[in-house]
Amino acid sequence: MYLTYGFHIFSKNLAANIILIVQLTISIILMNITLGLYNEAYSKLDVLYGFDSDTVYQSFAEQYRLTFNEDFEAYEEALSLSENVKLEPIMNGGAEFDGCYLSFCAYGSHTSHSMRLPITSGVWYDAAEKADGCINTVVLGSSKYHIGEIYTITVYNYMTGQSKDFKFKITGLIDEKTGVVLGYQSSNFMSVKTMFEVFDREESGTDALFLFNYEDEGISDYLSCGVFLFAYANNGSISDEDMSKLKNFGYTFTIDEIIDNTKNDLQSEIHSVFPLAVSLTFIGIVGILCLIILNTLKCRKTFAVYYICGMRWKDCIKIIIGQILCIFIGSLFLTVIAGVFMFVTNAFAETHLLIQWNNLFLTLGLFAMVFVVSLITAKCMLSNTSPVTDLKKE
Amino acid sequence: MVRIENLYKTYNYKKSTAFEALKDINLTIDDGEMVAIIGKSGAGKSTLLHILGCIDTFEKGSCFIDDTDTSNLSDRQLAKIRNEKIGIIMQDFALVEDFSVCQNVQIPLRFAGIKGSKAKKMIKDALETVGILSLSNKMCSQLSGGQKQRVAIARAIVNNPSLILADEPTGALDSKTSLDIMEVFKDLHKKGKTVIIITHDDNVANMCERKIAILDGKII
Repeated sequence: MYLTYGFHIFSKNLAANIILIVQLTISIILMNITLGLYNEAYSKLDVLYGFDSDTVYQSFAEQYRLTFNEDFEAYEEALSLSENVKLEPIMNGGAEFDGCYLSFCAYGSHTSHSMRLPITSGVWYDAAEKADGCINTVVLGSSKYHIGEIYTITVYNYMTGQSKDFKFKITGLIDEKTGVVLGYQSSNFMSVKTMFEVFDREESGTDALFLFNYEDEGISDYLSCGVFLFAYANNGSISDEDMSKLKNFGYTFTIDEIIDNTKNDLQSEIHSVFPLAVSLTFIGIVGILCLIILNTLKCRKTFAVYYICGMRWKDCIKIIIGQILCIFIGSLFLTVIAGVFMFVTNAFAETHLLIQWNNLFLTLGLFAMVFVVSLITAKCMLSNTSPVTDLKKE
Repeated sequence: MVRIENLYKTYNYKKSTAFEALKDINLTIDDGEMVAIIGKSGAGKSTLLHILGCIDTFEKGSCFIDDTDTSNLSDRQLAKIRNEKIGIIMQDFALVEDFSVCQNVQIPLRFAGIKGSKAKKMIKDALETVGILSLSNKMCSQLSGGQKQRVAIARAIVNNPSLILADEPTGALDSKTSLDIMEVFKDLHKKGKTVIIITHDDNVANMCERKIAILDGKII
């Protein structure tokens, strides 16, 4: 009943309410985009925090050097680093299985241990018990691979023309949207944005991506090096001499530099969205308050009529709650429609809008704040008036 | 039965601008009576009606509606009395203008929790009693003054209250319509309702069984 009467007040100022609903929706979307930027950056930074920042470095070989050094050992030799440094490339490959093409992305032991990606189910391949003769694998993409299952896949070495069957045991599954360090691209500015790529099934023309340790079962002979590698110090930190050699051969960044770059990058991105989101939210809150004040002033006589018909004066607040709920339901409805539209048109990738619990809590928190402020305002207004005086109003 | 004992009402109580609107009011109105409360403007008639209608408070004294002392009741209990025992009609009709006739008459039933076919029947009966059943789907903003007052009366009687309070019910109407409205009140009175009408119109007062005059907050 109170909701019905609240809707009645809402419908009396339909145009103003619709403007408010649209504005609130835009505020919510912008706030969520801001949070989405944080979500995206920090979910990947969490992976980087798994590395030891004192001893772990990463280096990019320039594209032409990789073509020159197809043999990784030759490349290592060319670098002539000290014994203290161990290089681990990212290796790529592929195979055909069950009528579909698969992509492989393999890391060395040190990298496998340090870089544990967020798993949807199961465990990271490095954390699972090793089955005899099997390569522990985490899969991203196709849903036809199941945890615990072992798949025998024939892998070809395109350089030698030889092939060999390998047994892949699935230990975990990763969400398709999770960024993965694929080692495909290099850049002179390294942040998690350039380091982590979303595996694109359509673009790669493959059904799934297998992540595993290339040191298992000699599969490295059937893979090729990417343009991206990690350099680890066996003890202490990488010396200045080794560091300068690495830098001579490509873009080189410490983990700390990447973290700093990511944070700076995030700051500049958020600076472009956050002020607008905050301004619109503020205007939205002020708009709701103005509307509540206006409606309460306009409807005081109606409330007085309800009062003489058997309503308690303090129950006016329930009618106002009904009105606010109409605004909120309208905003939520529009937000969901906008969300579905963005999802269908794949605008999430453009806007970094990741659906996570903290997005939901932010949205609900924003609503709760506006709700409470509106109610306090309405309550104050009603406590300063009485039905007897309101009945006499024209 | 309505009984008031030693009732005092002061506006802006305990403030420098305090004004005593009712002083030592003692009054008894039996069930089924039709009473006119008359007096000049500012005499305290409306204040008395508001107190009888449980929509205003008082500082001293007692007000009994069917032997229930309203001065000790909670908000919830007062709302229940307003809803079930009292029907209030105002000079300016006090209707929700953008509701239909039916929606306006339905208001007390909604607060009483009466829904469905029972509510429909009660609304139909009330509208029939005041002779505006054919207008039930019309918006109140499209009605004449006399029709609006009939809607207000229908709303006041829809819950079948024993006490009808009318504050200058003919004040905004022409003389012919006023007579029509008074006929409606007389019919309600004949059906056993207690009707209390505030008026300064002698013709209206003369149509009631008893007249109570108020002057400067006192019954004379």
